[in-house]
Amino acid sequence: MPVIIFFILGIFLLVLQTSFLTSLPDWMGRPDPLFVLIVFVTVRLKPPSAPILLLLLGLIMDIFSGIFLGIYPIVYILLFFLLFSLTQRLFLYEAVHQIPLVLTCYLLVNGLLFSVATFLAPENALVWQWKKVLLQMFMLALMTLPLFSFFDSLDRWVTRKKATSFFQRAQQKNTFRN
Amino acid sequence: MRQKNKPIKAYILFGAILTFILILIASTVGRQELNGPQRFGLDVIGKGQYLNTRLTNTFSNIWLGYVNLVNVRKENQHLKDELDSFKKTNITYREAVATNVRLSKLLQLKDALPPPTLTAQIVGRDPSLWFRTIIIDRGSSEGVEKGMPVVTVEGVVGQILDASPNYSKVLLANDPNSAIDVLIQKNRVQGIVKGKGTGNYQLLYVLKNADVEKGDAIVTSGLGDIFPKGLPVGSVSHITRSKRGMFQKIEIEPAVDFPQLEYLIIIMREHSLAGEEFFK
Repeated sequence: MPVIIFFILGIFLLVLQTSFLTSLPDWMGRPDPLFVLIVFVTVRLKPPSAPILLLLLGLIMDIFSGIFLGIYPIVYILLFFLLFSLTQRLFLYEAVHQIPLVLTCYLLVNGLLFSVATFLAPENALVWQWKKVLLQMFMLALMTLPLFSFFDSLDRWVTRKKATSFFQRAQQKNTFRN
Repeated sequence: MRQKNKPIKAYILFGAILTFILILIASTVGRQELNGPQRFGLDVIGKGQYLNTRLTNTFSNIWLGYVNLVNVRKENQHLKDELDSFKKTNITYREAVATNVRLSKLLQLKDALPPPTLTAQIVGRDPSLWFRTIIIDRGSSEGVEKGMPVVTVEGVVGQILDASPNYSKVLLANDPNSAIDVLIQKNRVQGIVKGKGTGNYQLLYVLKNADVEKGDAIVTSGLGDIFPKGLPVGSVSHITRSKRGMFQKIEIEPAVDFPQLEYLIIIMREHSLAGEEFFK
């Protein structure tokens, strides 16, 4: 169920950012709410739901972006395995982690897209544009908390989890008690 | 004695006044001009009239102003609403006129291009930072095929990358993966225009001894049978002649304003569906 809901939401966000959001002025960059969803899915959903959803969204992204098919699913799956292995060792669920997490992932994903595209067509060298990347990261930083909050609420609603406040610290077991 | 004199004095005074009035009346009968006392009377009474009128008007205005103020707010709001409505209508009309102008230009271009052609509208743009593609509302069911050139009134936009039955993906000319055979219009020197991914193009394979200047027009060469010959591509914006290498580094300012694109023309092939069905 969460896979279907988040897939539909992903499609909606993609439509939004390929049509309405591209008409925004240049100084606002190209807001990328879908990327926040990608990171949310990677961190919050468990296998096999998360990789399946990322593959589906990657395939859809391939249709609407770029010229090399398969580039997005590969990059998203790599991102999933990286974050999955990180979340096994580190606690990455709190609100304070979300902005650095999304920004780091954005830089990583774009670095990978850039590298793969350059590798596939070395004669058509891309130009890394720090100014645009930083603007995108700034816009993502503004969007991350409200979008994570919304996605969390949606996830709770879909999975019928007990609702908790967004900024409430996640309850952990006291390992020293017993 | 004193009491007796009082009525006599009063009678004398009354008689004198009456006599004065009668003389005054008698002296004015048949005349059209006011005499001195009449003018004086007019002056005094006129002043009173004037003051009274001013006073009345002032109070009347204050009262009317107060009464009107009650309705002014409503009227003001109504007028503001009306103004907003007119502004919206005006914007709609301006948009309609602008669309009309754009479509008229496209129609003129359509007539100038070799048939068959197909008009399309942009429905989506590439959300990534690294690729330059757009989605248009025409697809293979209307004969759109991979490789078909896409243009506007201003010049070359790109070519069809892929097509579904109803929509197509267009690779824009400013994408680094796009390459177009071109000519420098003034001296027919050939080269290849490639996108830089930043908005501008670069013109490759132009020898150092070729005469190129800033502002030179670049047009399609027609080689490769993809783009018709002579379509505007852009103009030379910057030239670098380094000591090493055989070629010049030439930057091209695109003829097309990519962020402002709305309607496009697809130049179809003779054997395409559009050529067979839509344009017969």
